[in-house]
Amino acid sequence: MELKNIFKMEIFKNRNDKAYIRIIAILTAMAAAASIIGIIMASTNNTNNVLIATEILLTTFTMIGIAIFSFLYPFHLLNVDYKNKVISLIFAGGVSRKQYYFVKIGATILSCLIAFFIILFIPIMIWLVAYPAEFTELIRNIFRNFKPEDISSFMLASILGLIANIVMLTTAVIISKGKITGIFLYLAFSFIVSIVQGFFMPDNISLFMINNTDMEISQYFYQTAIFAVFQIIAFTFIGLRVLDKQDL
Amino acid sequence: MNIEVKNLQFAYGTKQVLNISHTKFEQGKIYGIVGKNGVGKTTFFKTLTNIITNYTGEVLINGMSVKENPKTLAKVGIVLDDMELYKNQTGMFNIRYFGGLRGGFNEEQAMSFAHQLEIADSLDKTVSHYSLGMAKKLILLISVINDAETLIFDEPFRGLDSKSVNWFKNHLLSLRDKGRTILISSHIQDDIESLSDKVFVLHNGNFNHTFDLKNTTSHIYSVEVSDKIAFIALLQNKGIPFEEQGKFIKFEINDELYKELFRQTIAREIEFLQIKKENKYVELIK
Repeated sequence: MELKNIFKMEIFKNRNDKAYIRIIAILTAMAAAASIIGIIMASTNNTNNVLIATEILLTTFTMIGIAIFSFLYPFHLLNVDYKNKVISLIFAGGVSRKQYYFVKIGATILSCLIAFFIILFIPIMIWLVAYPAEFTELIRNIFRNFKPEDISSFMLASILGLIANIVMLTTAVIISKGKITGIFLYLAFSFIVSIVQGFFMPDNISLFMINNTDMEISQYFYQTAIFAVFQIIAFTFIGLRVLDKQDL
Repeated sequence: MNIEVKNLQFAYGTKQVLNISHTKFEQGKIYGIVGKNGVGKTTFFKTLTNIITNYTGEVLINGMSVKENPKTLAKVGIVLDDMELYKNQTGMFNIRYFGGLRGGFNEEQAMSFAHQLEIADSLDKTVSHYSLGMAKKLILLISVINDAETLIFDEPFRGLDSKSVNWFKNHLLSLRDKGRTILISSHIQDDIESLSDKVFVLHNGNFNHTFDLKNTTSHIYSVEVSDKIAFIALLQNKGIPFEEQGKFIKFEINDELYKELFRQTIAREIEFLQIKKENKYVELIK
């Protein structure tokens, strides 16, 4: 069984997941509508109460929706094989458990990134088309306070942090065999990770909580990235070990 | 594909389920795996296909350990009684997904099987809307679409209509003739006897008894006759050991001798009220 083939079929499965594709479409429509209303209000200086209330509600619901989706979607992608009780058929079909573990993580990350790209692409494009100069200026202002090294270290920490979270969620799903208790297990893992992180990297917490350290922002991001690497290694080890010995 | 099992031991907690010293399943044969309920038939199938890996010993397919080389299972089709599919997806999605996962998937051939099993028209419906029989047909279909060299079936015909059972039985026999190895477990005696070349009886975690059904001429008969005393006298006269079980008289005899016995019984005007013919292995699983 080729790794490429397993990955291809995993993506095939994710892009045929009609229920979640509908949710992505709804969130995209909500985000687009919130952007359009926002642009109408900004361009016409409209102070219509109904329009303002609609915009506030729509933006709030869209943000809450995206926040819930950002957790539920990867959880769903990771537990769908357990939930449908097809995981035994997958392994009986010659898929190695180790390959399955890594493919599952890779395909979940890719599917989530594509989903968020779709949801956020239209609103960003709407703002960019309507207010190109202002939008560019906004982005420029955000990055103005950061050195190039801060940005690269931030990107590294974000990518590794994302992978570490998905790895942790995968391990929680495997241990709970796809049951809903996996969510609580993931939260427990997150809590433990925060405690360990606070123990080993107290400066990082004080950097943001008290802001009295001499630590560079890039240094913080690099330390976070290194911690994420250890997190990935630890949870991959646990996840693979449990999966390897799991009777289905 | 040859399957070899060496020193296979598996326990659920403290309960030892499998303890198989050595067993081999050869290419081009259909093996009936029988045993009482809960004896470990499904567990045995799960160890063969990496669904259970927490065992000691070795499961080898063509000399390669399935635990270390799961790829060898890509050419093994399996149907277990508790197996399920993606319920919120269509039948066609499931066929394409599992077919694609194993590789070498031929959609045209899959559709041809789907027509034979009369589920082709339902493939665009989600599996959650399938009846038990339709879902079973779909799982059976998935097991054979990749030109599997070994097929493992646990109660494959439960929930199927007789037409589909007959089609599938004929299909399995044709696959056997093409050199496929097939392991089948069923509580329906006729399924085992109409398909199997050999029967392996799983008892106390091991295959202690094997029966070659194709070369056997000896069967166990239970008969009810109009004149029991006269019939017993006839059996004694021929030196056939027997056992009385209520109104039945049970004895083991080869088919040729049975024909002669039958003729002589009729000649003595003893009437057969009931005749039950069973293979010898059946005694071990009752």
